[in-house]
Amino acid sequence: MSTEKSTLGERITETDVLPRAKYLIVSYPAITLSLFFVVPLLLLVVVSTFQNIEGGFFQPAFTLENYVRFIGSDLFQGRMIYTLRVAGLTTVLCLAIGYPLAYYIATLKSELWRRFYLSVIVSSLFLTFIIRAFAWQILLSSDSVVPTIASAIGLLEEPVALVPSYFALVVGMVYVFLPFMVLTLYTSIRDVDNSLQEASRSLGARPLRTFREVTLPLTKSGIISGSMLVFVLSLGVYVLPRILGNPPQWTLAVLIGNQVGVEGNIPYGATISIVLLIVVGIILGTGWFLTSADRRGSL
Amino acid sequence: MSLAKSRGLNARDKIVAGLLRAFAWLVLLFVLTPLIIISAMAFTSGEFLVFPPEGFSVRWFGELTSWIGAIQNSVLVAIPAALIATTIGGTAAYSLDRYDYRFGKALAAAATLPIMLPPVIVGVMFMAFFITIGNSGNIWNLIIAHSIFLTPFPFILISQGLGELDQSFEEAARNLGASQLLTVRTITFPLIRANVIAGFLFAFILSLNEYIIAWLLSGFAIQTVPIQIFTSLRYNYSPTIAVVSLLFIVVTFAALTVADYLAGGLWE
Repeated sequence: MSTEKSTLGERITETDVLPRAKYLIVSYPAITLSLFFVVPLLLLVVVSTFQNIEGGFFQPAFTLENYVRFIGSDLFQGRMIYTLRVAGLTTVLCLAIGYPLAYYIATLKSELWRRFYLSVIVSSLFLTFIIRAFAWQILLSSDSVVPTIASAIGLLEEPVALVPSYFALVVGMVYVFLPFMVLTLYTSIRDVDNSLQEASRSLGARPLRTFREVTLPLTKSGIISGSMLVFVLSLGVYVLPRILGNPPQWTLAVLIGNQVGVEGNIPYGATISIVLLIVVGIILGTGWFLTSADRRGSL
Repeated sequence: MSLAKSRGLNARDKIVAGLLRAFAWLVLLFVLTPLIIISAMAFTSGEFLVFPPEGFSVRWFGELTSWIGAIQNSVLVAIPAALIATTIGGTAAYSLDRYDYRFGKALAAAATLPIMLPPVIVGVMFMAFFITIGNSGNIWNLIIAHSIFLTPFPFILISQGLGELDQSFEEAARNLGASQLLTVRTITFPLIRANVIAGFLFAFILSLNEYIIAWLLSGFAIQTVPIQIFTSLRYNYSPTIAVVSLLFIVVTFAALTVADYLAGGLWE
């Protein structure tokens, strides 16, 4: 770095009252993050090889027993596959609903309307999953809005409670993760150079064809990052399956929470966490690889 | 670029554009309905949480008194957690923007990664950590866990602010003899104040709303608002839950609007 243009900090250090400012400033975030993030993360790996002691404690053992138990357990294997399936379905639905919406908002002429739509989309983003799941619990209960409408138009024979169920879980998940998809796609669609679409149109391509052959391919990396984001976030849901589902709808995160919070078996909870982390890591890595390959390709 | 106004549109294109608009409004309805339902339920005069509400009354607002402890705990965790997250994220962003370190990439990763991990794993990680150092069921554990978990928000927002900053102002101050500390206080901070406050507010809102990490680390001893809502949903089904939720929706929206305004339209 110092061979080319030096940074502002380095240019003026000579005159500084604190010549070691460079390391002094960074020591605070570096130490806190090492001590309270890197160390606990490594500890999680170590604890996953420990032995459980009744009452929520553990002792060093350095065995792979917990991993053997996970691999040998049909229950946990089944939950892993179930979790991936629910996350996959959520991602596909978010993309199918989110893309047309993001496209519509991004192509609106009026900035005021764009801001209005985005505000609505963002409005629920930061609200705890518990309140949003609770809202759907009410909406889907037997004498409420959704079952009443569904039976009126003949989708249900009579208004029965749709919660707890797989359906309720998927609705809740699409509801909480849709904003992430829409915002990612919106940014990506807005970034497309308008003149390319203009060119396509002035060469006689109609809007649908312009969309298929120009806009869609140019927003590929937005589609990939949005999908990766929603998929990874979906893998970690704990609250939604608890409120909108029954034990058959519980995801791996619920099992981790139960192992640790209810059974008091922290080492086994740590083991399942590590397995889930590896899956998340593989997906994030693949996503990063795909989008960076895309960036290189477009240069 | 509005589709309908382009040249050479035939009927089919107009139908597609119309369908798209209808679809957008439908999704909007899907996003807003649950929030409206909850707000309406807070004003029910009935005994139970059923929709539609049985009548209009504000009597459940009086029941908020049984939630004061939880509200206090939530705020007592969220304010220090957001402050610590902002100082960690802010100093990390500042040092990475101004200097080169051999471990720079690792630091940036450590400041971004926590929010990417499933929260339940962050909870288990801190639980194992605090039990190992022999200190569990303490409110500070919760504050520390939330600060680390939420550091990415101030870190990313402040990095953005510093990246867009015109450094010649700071250079001028330094050339006129101001120390680095004085320059940060009088030049840098005022110029990126909006990003710092927005980062703080995001961390604050998310800490208020976070459930699973709080529950795992509370050791059944500390009740925050999300923890109490979750428990109430399972045991009594009182309309007070809707009142508290409404309160939360209002606070979250207010803080979000301010944060969004300060950051100059985060999604534009």
